[in-house]
Amino acid sequence: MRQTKRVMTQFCFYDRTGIEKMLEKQAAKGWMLESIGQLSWNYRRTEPKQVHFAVTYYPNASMFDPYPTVGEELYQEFVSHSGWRFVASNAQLQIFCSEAETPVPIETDPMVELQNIHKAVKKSYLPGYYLMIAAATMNLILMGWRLYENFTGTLANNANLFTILCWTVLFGMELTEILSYYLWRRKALRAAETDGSFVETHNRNNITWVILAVVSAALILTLTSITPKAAYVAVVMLVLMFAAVALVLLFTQWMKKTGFSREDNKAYTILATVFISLALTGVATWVVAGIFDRHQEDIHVRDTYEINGVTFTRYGDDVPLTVAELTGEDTVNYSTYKTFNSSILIDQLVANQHPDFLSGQGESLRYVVIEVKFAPLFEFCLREYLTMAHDQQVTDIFGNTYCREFQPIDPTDWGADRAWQLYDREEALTEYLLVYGNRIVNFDFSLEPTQEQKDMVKARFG
Amino acid sequence: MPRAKFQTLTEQMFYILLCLKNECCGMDIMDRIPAMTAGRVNVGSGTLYNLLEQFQQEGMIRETRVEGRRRSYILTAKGAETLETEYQRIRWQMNDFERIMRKEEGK
Repeated sequence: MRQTKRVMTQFCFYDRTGIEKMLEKQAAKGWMLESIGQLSWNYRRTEPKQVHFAVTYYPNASMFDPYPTVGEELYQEFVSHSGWRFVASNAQLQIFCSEAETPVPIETDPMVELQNIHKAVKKSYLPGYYLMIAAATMNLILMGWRLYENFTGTLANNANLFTILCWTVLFGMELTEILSYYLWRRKALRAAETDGSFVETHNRNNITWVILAVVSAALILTLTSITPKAAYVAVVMLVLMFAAVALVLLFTQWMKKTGFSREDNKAYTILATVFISLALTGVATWVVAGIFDRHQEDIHVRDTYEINGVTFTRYGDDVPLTVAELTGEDTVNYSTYKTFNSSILIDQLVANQHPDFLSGQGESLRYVVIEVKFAPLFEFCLREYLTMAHDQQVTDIFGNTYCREFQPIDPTDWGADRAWQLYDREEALTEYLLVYGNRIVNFDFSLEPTQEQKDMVKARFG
Repeated sequence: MPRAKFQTLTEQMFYILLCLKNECCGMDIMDRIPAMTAGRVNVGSGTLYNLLEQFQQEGMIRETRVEGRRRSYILTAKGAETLETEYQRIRWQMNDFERIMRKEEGK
């Protein structure tokens, strides 16, 4: 029978009543808290017994202290003098226990206790949360910019969705923590002022595990939906991230054990964090660059040719509709390539086919097929493609700039629900935007399509 | 409205300062207060520690001796004045109670 156990514990720093209840429950089961590590709370097996636990805060302590300061030891001795036994501490968090039936509480004035908790919270808990909110906000703004620039493409990638989910969850959690603390504090101050009672804190341990489960499920979904190589990159990145955090924690722990002063430990920890982050970024870039190179190899290279010493490649990807099918031309000298992105919300296929530069003759074809699986996004995707032409200014021979635009046309010929044609001022171009149910097709052909060709488009994408 | 710091004293604050009329070790205050009040008032060790720190910061008490981890304190003139003000406040309360309640009972 094992004599010790380590438990990953998720508690709000100020949730003193929640922590006390948990420790009392563990003691009743025969598990006595022995120490608090960086990642786990460590218990030792004892006789099951009813023990009172008290969680208090010593604001002047720091997680970087190599050993308890004189003040902290004095505080612990003070508390021990009143019959409580010191059990463990983690930075400012101090845990005591008493086997007396009704021990005098360590804190008997809720107002003084609240002031003390607030001092500790301001010093260690809030700065970390504000930092995380700032990081999450920055990343969400960057993601927002990507969405603004390329709405459909960004959402057609599960890895992007996962990133958005993670930062949003983190932002929400941190903001909730801060707001909950201040709401609880306001309520607690009022209660302490009016009837001298201490308002119990709320334990949101279960919510944290639920969020963790949702994020893990999203991660698994993401990993299974992206290409094996991209999944490999993602796993490597995750492992590296966890390794970096563990490395920094171990380094801090080692400095504590070795006796580095609080100030030195703090300074070296910051340096180590910056160094490890830079190293991680370097490794990540190297891994992604390696995969990217290999990704290029994945595209089906048919052959290469040279013009004036410059090498060009002919690709031979499989695409759902080809120039050969549309025109019956011999496309042996054509290069065909595609990119396909798929997420739980949107699928996006971009296909290109054009003659090589050597022959330089023949028709060219480009189309984007977007399948919107989450209906509320449909109009946003459509709008993005409709306005895409507006974003690209054209300059005529007289130096005047203007924008091309899609104008509605009769969709009947295309067998589509809705259809637009691109116009260069008064001149109709051969680029179309077609809607078939939940599909948007951006079809750009170098010829004015015949009815037969339109029927073919409908047959493939409609 | 939150109470202005030490403008009025809680019962625990009052007895801590009272104990420090004569030099006293912080830890001993914990035992003296219940003895002084026949067990009616108890001050938790954490509360006592924090209040001693706050009283010292406000100049209401001063440290007199440090023997190992035992620190002794004594009331300063400012602390004595605060205690006196609180005493007067309680007396006014008592007088008002006597004047109103007892007078009504005597009618």
